[in-house]
Amino acid sequence: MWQEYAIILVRGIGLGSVYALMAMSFNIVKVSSGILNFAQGNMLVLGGMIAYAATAYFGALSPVIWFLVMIASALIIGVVVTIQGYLTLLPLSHSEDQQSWLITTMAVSIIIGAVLLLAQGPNALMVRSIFPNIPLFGMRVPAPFLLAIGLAIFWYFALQLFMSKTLVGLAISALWQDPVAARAAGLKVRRLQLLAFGISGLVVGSTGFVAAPIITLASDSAVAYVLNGFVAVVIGGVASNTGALIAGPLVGVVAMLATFKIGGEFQGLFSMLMLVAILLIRPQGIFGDTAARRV
Amino acid sequence: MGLKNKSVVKAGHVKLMSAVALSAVMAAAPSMAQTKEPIKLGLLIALTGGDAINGLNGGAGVRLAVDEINKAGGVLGRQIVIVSADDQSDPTAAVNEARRLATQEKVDFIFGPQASQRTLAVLPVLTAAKIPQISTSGSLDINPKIGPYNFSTQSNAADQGYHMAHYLTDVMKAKKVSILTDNGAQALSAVPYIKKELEKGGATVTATQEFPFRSEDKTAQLLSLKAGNPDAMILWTNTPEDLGVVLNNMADMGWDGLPISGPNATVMQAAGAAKIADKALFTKVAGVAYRGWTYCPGEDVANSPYVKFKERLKAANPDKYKDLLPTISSYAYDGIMIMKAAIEATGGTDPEKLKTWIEGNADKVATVSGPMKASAESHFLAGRDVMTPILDPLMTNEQGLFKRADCK
Amino acid sequence: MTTRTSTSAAYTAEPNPTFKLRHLLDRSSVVQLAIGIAAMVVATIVPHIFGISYWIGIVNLAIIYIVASVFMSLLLVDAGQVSFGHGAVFGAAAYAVGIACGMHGLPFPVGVLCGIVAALFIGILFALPALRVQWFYLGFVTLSAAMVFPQMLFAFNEYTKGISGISIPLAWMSEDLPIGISTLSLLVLILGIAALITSAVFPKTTLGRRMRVAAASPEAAQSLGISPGKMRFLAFIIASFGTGLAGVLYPPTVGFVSPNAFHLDMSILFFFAVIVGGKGQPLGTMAGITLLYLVPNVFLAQLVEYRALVYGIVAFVVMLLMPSGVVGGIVRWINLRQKPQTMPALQFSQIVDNVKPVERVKDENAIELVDVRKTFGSVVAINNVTLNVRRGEIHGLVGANGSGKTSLLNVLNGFTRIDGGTARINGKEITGLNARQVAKLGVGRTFQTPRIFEQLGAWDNVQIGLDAKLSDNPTLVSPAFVGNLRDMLSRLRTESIPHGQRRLLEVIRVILTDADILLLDEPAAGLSPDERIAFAALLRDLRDKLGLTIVFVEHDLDLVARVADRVTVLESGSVVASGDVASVWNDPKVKPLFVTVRHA
Repeated sequence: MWQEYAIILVRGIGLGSVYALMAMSFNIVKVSSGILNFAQGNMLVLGGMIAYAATAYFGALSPVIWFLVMIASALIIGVVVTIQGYLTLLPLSHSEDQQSWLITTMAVSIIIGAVLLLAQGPNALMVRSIFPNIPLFGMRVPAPFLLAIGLAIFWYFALQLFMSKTLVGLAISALWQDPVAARAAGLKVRRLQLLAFGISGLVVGSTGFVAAPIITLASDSAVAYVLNGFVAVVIGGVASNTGALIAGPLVGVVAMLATFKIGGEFQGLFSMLMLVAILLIRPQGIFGDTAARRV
Repeated sequence: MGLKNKSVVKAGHVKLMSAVALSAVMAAAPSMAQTKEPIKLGLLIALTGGDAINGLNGGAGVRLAVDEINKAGGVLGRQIVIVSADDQSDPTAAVNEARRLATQEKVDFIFGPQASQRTLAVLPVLTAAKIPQISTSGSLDINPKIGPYNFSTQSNAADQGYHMAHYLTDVMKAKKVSILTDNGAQALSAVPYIKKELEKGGATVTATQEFPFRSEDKTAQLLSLKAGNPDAMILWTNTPEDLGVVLNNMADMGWDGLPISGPNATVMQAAGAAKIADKALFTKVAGVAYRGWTYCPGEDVANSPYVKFKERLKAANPDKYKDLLPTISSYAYDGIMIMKAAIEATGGTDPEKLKTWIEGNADKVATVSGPMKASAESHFLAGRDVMTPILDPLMTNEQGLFKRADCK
Repeated sequence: MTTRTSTSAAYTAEPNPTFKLRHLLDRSSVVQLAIGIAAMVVATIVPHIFGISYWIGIVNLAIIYIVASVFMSLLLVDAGQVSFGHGAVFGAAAYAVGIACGMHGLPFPVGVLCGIVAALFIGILFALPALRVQWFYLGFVTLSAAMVFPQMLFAFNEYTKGISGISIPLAWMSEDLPIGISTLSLLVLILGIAALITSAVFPKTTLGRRMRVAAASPEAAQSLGISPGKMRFLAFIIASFGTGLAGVLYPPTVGFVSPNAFHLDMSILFFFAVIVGGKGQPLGTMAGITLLYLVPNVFLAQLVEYRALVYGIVAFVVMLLMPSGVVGGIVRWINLRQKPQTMPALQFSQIVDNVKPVERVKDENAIELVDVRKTFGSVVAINNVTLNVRRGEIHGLVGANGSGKTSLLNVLNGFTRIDGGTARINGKEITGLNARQVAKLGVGRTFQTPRIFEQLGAWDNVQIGLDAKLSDNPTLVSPAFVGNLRDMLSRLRTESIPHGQRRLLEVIRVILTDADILLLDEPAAGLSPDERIAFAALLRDLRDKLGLTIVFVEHDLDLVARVADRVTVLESGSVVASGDVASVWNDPKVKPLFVTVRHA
């Protein structure tokens, strides 16, 4: 009996790590510009498509090639998201209406979805993991679940170091604490925001690649990742990567447990109830500061 | 505005201009009846949305049929032109597009929609406009009373469910069966029939679980089903990735080897699922197939109509063939061929005559997916007898045919 | 609240100032409304004349979507509530009609009733989290609700017929009436026109203004006696009611309801339509639905494969080029071509003409503070302040930045609850009261950064004071003055009001509420020397002719010396000195502070 729960835990955490990575990627853009990038879900899918394309091109990847292509995937999506960020920020500089990003990021998401549909049709792309399944608790766990957990931990420490130890990272944090003062202090705000978009692209690009065998790579699968990533942001607390690292897996595990004990048809309802419950009980999230409430 | 011999594209331009100018009346003006005027076929399928895979494959089958008919000189000497419409996998869009096809484009007959909820949605419009229709929808809510001019070449959920259940109870002698389905239309509507047939066959249902389309992992559902300790499983998936993920998850938890019984979709999508799941995992998987797709060892099938159909489909779609499911294309193709035969036999596109002819004579039309038949009571051309269970959808012979489960 | 709604109506009914359409709607709104209504009428009638049922259906559906978007706009633009789940409200109404008429064969009016109840139910479900969370948090809650909605229709298939959907036998509604159009088209057209008018007029109603104030600045709203929570709740109720009306017309138009029709895409369409069309523009939702629904789905129906792409690109490009939406962008462009408007300086000499005898007792305290204390964590903001303000006096509060002046005002109008001591206003203890309750005792205030809202018209920013009028008595402010001000402001755009004038408008707003105690936070900042002299005269008029009590925070000591009857000097949250101007000025404890204050 305990093995069942153990395996649900491992898989839930693995899938939840993807949500955690989505949440961290949301966070850095949110911190720098207040924008929540709705197109990020499709960027994740694009990262996974790179894994598909690489397999189609090279055949089965050796671990070294796999690693190199992962870095390439992170860089490519990093550049794509930076360009998207530039376009998103464009209208914000010459208009007092500061909500256009809601539409532009959603529209980019729709455009990417539409292009994917035109390019590869309605079928989902399927990627096989190059790593063997790993025996655990008397059952087998596909390696990407564990790799996703590892990637989430890697990006967590990398981002924490970057945000607290580098000047650029501190400058981005300053944008969140007090944008007016940061601007007055002469920080190149737009450049920092673009950098944040780029970093978020690195995170989702690498995530999409690593998790390609366990996520759904279709033109219409992005919304679910955006939503689950956002639920992780809210539960963890906006701008808190520590919160994201814990909340993502929590979301994954709770959804699986709900399915196991209650039934798969209520998975969506459960994630929503979790979101509502957190917002009503503790709107700032587990690790969020109270400032989040004002947002 | 001269609308004689207008092509589809021209019609589109006319409509666009007239729409903008709010003078749509021009496009709707009755054009001069000509003896060699083309027959207009409205292709009302999903090009976008969740059901676009069906649209892709059904559309390919329809286009092949139309090409062949036109190359052979058309029907009654008239060419068939296709007027395309996207129902977006959405009933509202389907209704709007059905209205457009019926009243703007004035099509002679319609192929589609390819899912019950959209077919049900457009039936009132098409029935009122008396447009003959070939849909591929399996819901039992569709009957000749509400859709007198609608025929379906897809087997309905109950007929598929019958074979799925009885394969497990009669062939596999299963006593305890669990049910796992996606949360799609077809699967959920089939569950009650399957339960009934399982009970008739002497089996009990241990548990039922469902998963959202294309969810990443089904381990939780499978673990909860496994707790009931069943000796077989009904598995209704509609996408290749769902089938592959379920089989992988079962293997990961050491539950492979359990006899599994799936619907038509299992047969069609096993090849796709094999991109992520090992071939060995399919040996205990059964599905329901049209007889035309199947063989038993010793039969001469090298020149069977379905095999020949696949060759022609490949020739017509050299680049896209690898992404196509000829199984789905085949019964779409059959639908057009039955309608063509009906038009030829009745000498025109009069809906009442077509309906009566198809009800009485569909079984006389040569089809590629299996022997079709209709009656005044049932417009499901692919009835229970057309279907047969097959085992291991990956074990196809050199012509790509599936081996029937009841072979000697 | 209800009594006050009637008072503002009573005020506008006075013979002077007279009602003019310009006061209700600006020219742009009138033109947009005319275009919108004409377009709807033509689009409805023409297909009927030629009997093209395809176009009849499309036009009806487009108008229904416009109506839903109009109420989405009310929620988003007027009340500031982000909902990505509006499609669920719409779908609930449609489904209720489906279940009532399609499954149980009830007559359509019963279905309409059920539909509206269902829409209100979902609306209230959305409103509950809205009381607690805002902005895109709320957006995501509603978004996930929109995703769950069709799943629930599946899950409860015994009541909804699940996947199969429900056919609706309401064909009689599509039969032409003797007037040439069908019952359904007539209903849709009436609803469409009503929705367009609502979208133009609602912002100009008392409720509309209050919602906008509550959305723009909850604290300003409270100081005007408006409850932001109540406004949000009302907004959800009204929006769901309107959307429900649109939703109930969907089943007879389409003839069928099924869960797949009410996916997230529908909610996103309504949201996009509002923003892409142009927030707050009467023609905005119409432009949005035309661009995002009609163009990809109908005008480009032949390019089916590219539908979603066209949809995304249209939205994206419009936002890049016209961040304020299509109609908003056009209006802005027209405005730019016109001469920039300049606002004439406000003349206050006429503010009170026929001096009515003011019967206010001079020798009682309007404000009494005894040992008032307020701490934030370890910071003592107000340190045992004891202070009396007599009725009908002008009381200056001076001190360095951070000395506790604004904190004290916040206590006086109920924004902050005190930790110790007692505070009485007009004889009533206010310790347990919130800002709205204090406002109703007759306290009005202005803010350091003026709360002049660009979401409201220039005059509307003053009108919200009249909306919050405390009594049924006619205002003591001269009707001629108000009339002239209204005439002048009705021609102006809010953006063109200079900063200094905004403070004065805020003061006038507060005076019009009938408050007898005014709390003004740096009212003269940004005024020219001449304007300061005029402003000093205004304060004296308010005291002498209206008998108001005024507490004002000011850095300009000359101005304080000129108008204040008494002065209180604060330092680090404590009272350093308090009394008449001359004695405080000469207080040895105060003198050293002045130097710093003067140079601060």
